[in-house]
Amino acid sequence: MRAELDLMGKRIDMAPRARRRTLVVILYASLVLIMGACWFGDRWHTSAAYLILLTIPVNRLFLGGFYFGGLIKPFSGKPPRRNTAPPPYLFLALRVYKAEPEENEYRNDERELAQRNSAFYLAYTPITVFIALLWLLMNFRDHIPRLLERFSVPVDSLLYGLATAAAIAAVTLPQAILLWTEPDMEEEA
Amino acid sequence: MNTEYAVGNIRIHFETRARRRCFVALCFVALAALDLACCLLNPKLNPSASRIAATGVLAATGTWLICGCGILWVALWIVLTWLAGDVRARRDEREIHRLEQAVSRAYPILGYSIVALFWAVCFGGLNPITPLSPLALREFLVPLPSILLMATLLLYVTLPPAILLWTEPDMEEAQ
Repeated sequence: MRAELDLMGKRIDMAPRARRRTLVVILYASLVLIMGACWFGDRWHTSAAYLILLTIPVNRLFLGGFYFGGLIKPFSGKPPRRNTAPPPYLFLALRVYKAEPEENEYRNDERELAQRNSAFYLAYTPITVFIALLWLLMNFRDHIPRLLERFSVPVDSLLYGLATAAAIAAVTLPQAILLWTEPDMEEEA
Repeated sequence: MNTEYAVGNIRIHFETRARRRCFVALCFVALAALDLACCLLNPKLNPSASRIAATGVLAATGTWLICGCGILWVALWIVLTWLAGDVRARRDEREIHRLEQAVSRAYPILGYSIVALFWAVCFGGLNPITPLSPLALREFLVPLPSILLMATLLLYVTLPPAILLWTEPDMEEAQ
């Protein structure tokens, strides 16, 4: 895990656990707020797809894990794919372009691998709740629709929202657990 | 991890990795058959099946197929979980490490399944493009979320023990 967050050229110290926890809370609160706003906007009909795409910059800039960038090293332990073409001007202007990384920036050591496995193990359980709810809702819709007649919200929209939340949780939860549980890091001598 | 499964006087040995891998492959074949049978042969989930089911032949065969696949999968799943051992049981350090490793390998597959499920629900009708698509495509998209959800659910309960059985090297026979 990195101790500094590189946000558009500005380095933010993330060594204290309190800061990392604040970041996790802010990220999830923002995602919930955006999801709520999208519900009022178009009932998630078009915006839900963009919400899923939003997790890509969230992972690249803040969390890392499934993508290169962010605080957590890539779970795969592989370097980012490099293009021979010069970097886009926009990336340079926004200071989000990163030069060829050092090996220790993407390669996980034994302790980090153990932490990663443990985080996946912890994240596996909450995902059950989402899958079980989706399964229940889909079954009620297909087989016992009268049970859902009391809901003022259309069942399809409910299902869609739950699938969106499940997908967002699936791609962000292990990184959030890692950031939440890692103790304060020692300052470099 | 257990090395054999006993039903009455019959003992099935699973010490060799090749045998365990064959068993895991059989489990996943049964899982795929159950998933497809449940979602494609069920007239409530698949509108094109309901048209053919009007003859009555497919309806009867489909019900038998779904039941057969279900019974087979549950039987295989019981053996699979028995061999992998109780997840909640107290384990030694090596076993905990292996379990966490198995779950960490299973998680990305599960994550991709959930994201695929989301896109299936998305293309199933809640977007402005699908209503304009051909009827055949729309009929294919109707049962797709159910297929993926059921597959995700079955993978959720099957993958970690299956990975454990698949990756564990050959074991010595019990004395």
